Amino acid sequence: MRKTTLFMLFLIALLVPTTPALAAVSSTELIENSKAYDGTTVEFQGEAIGDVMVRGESGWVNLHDGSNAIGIWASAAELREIRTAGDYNSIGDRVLVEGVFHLACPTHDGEFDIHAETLAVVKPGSRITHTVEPGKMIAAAILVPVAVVLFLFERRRRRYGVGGS
Amino acid sequence: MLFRPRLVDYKIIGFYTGKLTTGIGLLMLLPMVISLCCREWSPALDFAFGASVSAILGFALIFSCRTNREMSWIHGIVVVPIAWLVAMVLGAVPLYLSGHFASFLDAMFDSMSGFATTGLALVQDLDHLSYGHNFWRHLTMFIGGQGIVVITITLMTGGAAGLYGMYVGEGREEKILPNLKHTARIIWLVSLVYLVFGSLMLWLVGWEIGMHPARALFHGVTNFMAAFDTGGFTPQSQSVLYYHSAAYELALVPLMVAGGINFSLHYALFSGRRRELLKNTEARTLAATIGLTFMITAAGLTDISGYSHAMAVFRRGFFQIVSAHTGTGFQTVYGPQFADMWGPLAVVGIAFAMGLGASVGSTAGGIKALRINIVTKAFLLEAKRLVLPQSAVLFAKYHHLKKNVISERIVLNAFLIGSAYLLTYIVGGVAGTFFDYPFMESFFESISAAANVGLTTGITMPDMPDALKVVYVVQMWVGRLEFLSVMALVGFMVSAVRGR
Repeated sequence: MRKTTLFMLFLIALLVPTTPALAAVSSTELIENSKAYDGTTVEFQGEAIGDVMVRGESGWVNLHDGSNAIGIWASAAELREIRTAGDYNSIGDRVLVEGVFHLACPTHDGEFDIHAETLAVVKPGSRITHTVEPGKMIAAAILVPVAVVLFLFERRRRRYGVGGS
Repeated sequence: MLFRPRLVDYKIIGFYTGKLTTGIGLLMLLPMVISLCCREWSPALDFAFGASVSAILGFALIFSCRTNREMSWIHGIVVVPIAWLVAMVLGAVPLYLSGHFASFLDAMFDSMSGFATTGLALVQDLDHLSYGHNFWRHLTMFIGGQGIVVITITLMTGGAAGLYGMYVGEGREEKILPNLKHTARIIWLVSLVYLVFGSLMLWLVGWEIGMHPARALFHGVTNFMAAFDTGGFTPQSQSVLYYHSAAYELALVPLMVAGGINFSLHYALFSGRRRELLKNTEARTLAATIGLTFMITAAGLTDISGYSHAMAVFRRGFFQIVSAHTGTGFQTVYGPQFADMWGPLAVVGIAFAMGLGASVGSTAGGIKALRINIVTKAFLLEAKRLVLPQSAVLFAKYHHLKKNVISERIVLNAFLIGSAYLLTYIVGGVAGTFFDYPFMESFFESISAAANVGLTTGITMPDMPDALKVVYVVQMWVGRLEFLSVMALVGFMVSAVRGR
């Protein structure tokens, strides 16, 4: 009896229509199969890089997923949730967007973009600590004085006009 | 009979190469200052190291090759390609130390791409590159665009014949003023005036579109260098796509066009001779070929691409045509889109624009508008000669600052250099197909490298074969120097081996 109930429940589960979960796409997939994804709702995740460019009620942020960066058009309110954009000193916020992908956006003169319907910061950015390699310091400490001495020597020679062979 | 070069010839070449090498070292102090201002200590050390190595090598050459002998034309012309190779290697030192390159070859590739104002790049994780290194990438374009030699001529004294050889060896033919040093100073004056106004304009537009003011200023200066010197590097990995702004693209277009115009014409405009712009044969040819290649590209885009309205076709197509024709290489589409979305006709339009190039005596590469005009007129003249009586006196002329009659020598020169470019495009294209890249993409990339453009369909990546990287480096080098000085160097090497 228990086995029959479980089997019936399994069959019901198969027959009940479910909303398919959005598969996250990579930038490479979007670029290489752009025609297939054009106009569809996609989920894209990446690091916010450079600048969050708010323009009135909306704006742009570029998300880099490790291969390429894709432009995201979102509302200003959502964009303001992004605190850190990646550069030399920082790893930017990791941002997840769900939105409509356009191979050639009709509202932005053919931009390759995603219009975000939802945008969420899934991992806050962090500061990068750059350590100076000792080898670089030692090399510079030796070479810089040598270069300066040669420069001064040449300057002195030119001032007192010693000729060549 | 070939004459074997004597020791003094090597010493003269070594001495002036040394001078140029110390100059490269001095220029590395600029990005070092930027790094120090931005508290980027490790990059500052990279530039201190690079500058020191350049200075030590330069002074070693100066001390060991010092001579009182004046540099002759042939010495001057041979120094140039050697100095460019030395600049490539030394310029790559701080880039490689940044840790953003897979190999020293990749760093040299970007270094040559910068100096030759090409814009193809193998840098990795560009969006996290330091401000200092990013500035150096763009400064190499500003130096290479105006000319490594032009800087030296501005500062040097003596050796007039050799200096002119160096000047010609760097792909320039005409003097703006009778004195070469005055000509070099005019080139820098024009460039610096544009630098101030161009950077200011891009800064304000960048600020207006939502960038942080300080970052907008950095992007303004670096993008100006890339646009005016028709280089095509950008501070971010997405090229001009990063800005998502028609205003920013609009601001870049006149700067790219200005970079593609002959410095003599700039000087004429600065001197108040504005009508020269309308009369100048090369400017008119350039306008005509930009229009023609845009029509080809627009027809291709309208036919099969996904752009739904005319404005999209114009914004994407026109920007890419100006970028290609002036040899800049800024992109507002991803590389693979050229092959996948734009279709063959649109790509042919872009490839033609790249191959034709802009003006002689500008910072652009490619065959160049004046040569196209001269060869076309020579063909038409020959066609006329066939149908008119033998006694008819026929001649063709072009307007560049004054009316000039097209002589056979001018036609031959234009034809030979044009043919050399075509051959270089073909060699690079065949090399690409040899490494199993598709035919169209291979030729597109080859033209882009040899004409110093920088547009890519996606072949130029760090994982491309090393041999193909070397092919593109050579193409960028010979394309920027317009063959003459490289051929002189080859001749010099042959005479060193086989001469008596």
